[in-house]
Amino acid sequence: MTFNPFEQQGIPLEQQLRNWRELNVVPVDPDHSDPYTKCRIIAMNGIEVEAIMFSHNFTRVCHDTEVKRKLAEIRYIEQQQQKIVNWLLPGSSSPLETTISYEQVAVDLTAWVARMEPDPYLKQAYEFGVLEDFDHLYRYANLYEMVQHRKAEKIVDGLTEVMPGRPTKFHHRHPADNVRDPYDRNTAAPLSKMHALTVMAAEQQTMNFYMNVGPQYMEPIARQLYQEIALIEEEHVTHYESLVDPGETWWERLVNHEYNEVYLYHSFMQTESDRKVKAIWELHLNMELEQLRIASELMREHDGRDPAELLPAELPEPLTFEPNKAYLRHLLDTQIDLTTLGAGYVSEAHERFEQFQEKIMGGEIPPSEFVIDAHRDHFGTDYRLETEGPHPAPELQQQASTKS
Amino acid sequence: MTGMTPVAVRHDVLDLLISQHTRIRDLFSELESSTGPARREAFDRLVRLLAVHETIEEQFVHPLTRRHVHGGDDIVEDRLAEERLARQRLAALQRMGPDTAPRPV
Repeated sequence: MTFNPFEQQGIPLEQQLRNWRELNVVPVDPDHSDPYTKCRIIAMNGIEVEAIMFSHNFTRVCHDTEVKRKLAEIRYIEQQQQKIVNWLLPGSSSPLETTISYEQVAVDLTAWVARMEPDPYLKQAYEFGVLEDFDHLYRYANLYEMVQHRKAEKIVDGLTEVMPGRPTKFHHRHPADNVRDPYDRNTAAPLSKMHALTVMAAEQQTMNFYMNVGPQYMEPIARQLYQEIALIEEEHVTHYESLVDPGETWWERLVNHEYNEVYLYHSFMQTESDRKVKAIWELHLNMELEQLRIASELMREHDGRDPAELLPAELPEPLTFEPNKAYLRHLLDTQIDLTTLGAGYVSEAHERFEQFQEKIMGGEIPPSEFVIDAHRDHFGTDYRLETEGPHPAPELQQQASTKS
Repeated sequence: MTGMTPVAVRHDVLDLLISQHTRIRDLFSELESSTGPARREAFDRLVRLLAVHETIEEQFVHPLTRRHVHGGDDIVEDRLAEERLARQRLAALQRMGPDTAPRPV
């Protein structure tokens, strides 16, 4: 089946506005829905939030009032799309439960992107990042059992393993070492551009989520762990956003954003197991086609270029949420001790890394270690979900508490 | 389940109540997805657990709330009213049994 996003007819923009009744979506059931349905909701929410904030940033530097009006019209619709998508999440889930799903997104989305990425430098960036998200899932899962007396396997449902990745305490690098080199907009594969936008948007949403829900907890360890991991999300956003070529024109960026939204709604429509949610992906796809058409027109008019010269007439293979256990175990086995230096990666702790570590630790153990110690004290061991056998790194295999 | 015996587990009343919340949520989930004798069994366990849970709240949490929380008496009275209603509904559900078809709304 060929699907040419530049030729498909969408829903006319003036018919895209929804009323209160249409905005009032029924959320998914937290106990019976597919964990990957929640992942798709969280990922798409991140994409819509990025669409909105990108549009605001564009507006702030745009001199053309007619263009600003057009952006405002599209942005209002994008705000409604975001409300529909994020309001699919159930109010009965606690922020911490949603956090576990956010980390499941970060793990299985980034792992998929790493597997599919054609450029080796970009692929390395995703492989590096995913081992950190994987460790965050483990830390939050331990917090979850302590605070809510419930196991994270009820949320991730055996699709994603829960065990240590690159230990969170080693994620705190000198900020200058978080800046990567960008791809070249003239030679990069269109899929590479979409991957960078997608993972950047997902991490940005995670950063925003943690910086706002963290202080809603009363338990000191929960407040502290959110602070620590929220600061690593700042590093991840820096890491991924620096992959995008800063030389892209604003029109090009707009078209890339809209094209990527078409690609993702189309992808999720192909793989969605929940009938009602699938209908939303399909509707939003038809809305995005029109938004892409308008962005393409703006590009032709203001940039003198046709988007069809930059982006493919056929969408890439659908981005899919699926287990990545073997792939992640391979990365755990080979890349766990990496850190960054300048725009590259090294396996030893260099001077700038060590100086930064010393300053931020202040001679104490960080919350991400304390949460595991506290869990061991409380339950006798740390919480893990190792469905495929013991941890591939011998030094990270599970040990019972020394206290008994 | 890890199959390990927990050591050094702290047990205060809040730990117990929070872990009961989790078990109650899981029992509701089990009830929705089971049929026949398993459904009856899940239902009976749920009813028993809810009764135990309410009793612990009334014996331990309510007196502390009345004594130490600003406006505690009103909060406790509201909770008691809510629990009375829940008990009535639960008794009605028990009479109907877990296999009665839901009434169309």
